[in-house]
Amino acid sequence: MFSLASCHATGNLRLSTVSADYLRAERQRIHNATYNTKIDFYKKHFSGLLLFKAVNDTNNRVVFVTETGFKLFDFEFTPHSFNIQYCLPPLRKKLILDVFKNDLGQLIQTDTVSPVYINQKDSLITFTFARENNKYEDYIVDSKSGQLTAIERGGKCVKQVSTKIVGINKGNFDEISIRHHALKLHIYLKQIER
Amino acid sequence: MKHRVVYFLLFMCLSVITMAQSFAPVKDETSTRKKIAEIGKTSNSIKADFVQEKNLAMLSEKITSKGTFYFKKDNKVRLEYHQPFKYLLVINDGKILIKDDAKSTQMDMHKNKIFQEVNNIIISCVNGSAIGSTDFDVKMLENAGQLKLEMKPIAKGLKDFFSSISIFIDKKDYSVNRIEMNEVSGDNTIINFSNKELNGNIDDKLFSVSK
Repeated sequence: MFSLASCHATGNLRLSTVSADYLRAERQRIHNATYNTKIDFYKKHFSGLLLFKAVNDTNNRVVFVTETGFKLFDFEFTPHSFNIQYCLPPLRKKLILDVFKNDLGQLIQTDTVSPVYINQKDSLITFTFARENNKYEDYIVDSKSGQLTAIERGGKCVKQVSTKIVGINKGNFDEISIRHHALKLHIYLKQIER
Repeated sequence: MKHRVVYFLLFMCLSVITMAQSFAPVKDETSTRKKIAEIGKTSNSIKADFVQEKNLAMLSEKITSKGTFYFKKDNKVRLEYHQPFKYLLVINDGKILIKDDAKSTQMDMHKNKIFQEVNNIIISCVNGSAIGSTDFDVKMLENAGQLKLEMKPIAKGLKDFFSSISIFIDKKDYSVNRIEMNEVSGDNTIINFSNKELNGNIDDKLFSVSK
């Protein structure tokens, strides 16, 4: 806890001092939306449409289809599991599946645990959650707009994956940029009309 | 009595609509096959607007997109998606050009199985060669205005993905009205064509695959 704190700016807040509005903001997620999606992996560029659907309060499906209509994968996320409903064989690789599981999962799953650490710097409130294997996730909320603006994933001090979120449209994040620092992987999503 | 007449007329109207939509086996299959093959040989180009619907059965969701389709003999294809996203796919002489609003990518079609299948299906549907394909078992049906080619895949790769592909052809000019690609999973992709311009002059530049 102390070593984690050493990587963050000062100004720790107690959970009880944080407004319930900001806690709600930290729990913002995608419910039902379709995104025009671009993926850049090293020198390769891919695109398609990602469809998010909340099946009920806890379970979500995420389907990726090409613009021409070919389905590449269909994943189901529940609070404690990740199920592959369909995945095109060339994509059934652990590294690829882990990336999608973590990157898409962070956008739809709400936390049932409390943050281990809350920090405020200027208008930004950071909720830090402890994950397995000494990993941490920072959910950063802008206290002025009440919107979740970023998610940082990684170790105690080194960020491995940075997610930026801009705007809310029809109750869903409007624009999302996910950057993997070690993999040269960038995933960009822009919401489109359904 | 007045109500009975109204119900009778309504029933008759519904019956006529149902009959118009239902398909029966083609009466003269040999001559119809010959006609489709002939038209395929003589059709040089097609330009049409399209509406594509991707239906995700398990989720009761659909994704609709619109654009313009171009075909020029022998195997040049251009698919321009305008709504709700910008996307361009050009297939020409074994090469593919893909342009989205971020980047242009050129690739060799033979290295990408998905595009190979997309290309084969589009070309064979448009130029009529689908009826002679050994990859499908083809049933020919018709109603007053349209022919329907009901194609069940035989080839392994296709069979794993598609349960059937149906092509609806306008009897007036033998052009394709609609393509339905039904997947094994229960999902399907439906493409409806409209504002068709047959054998017009289409500039070769539209099929350029240079970045």
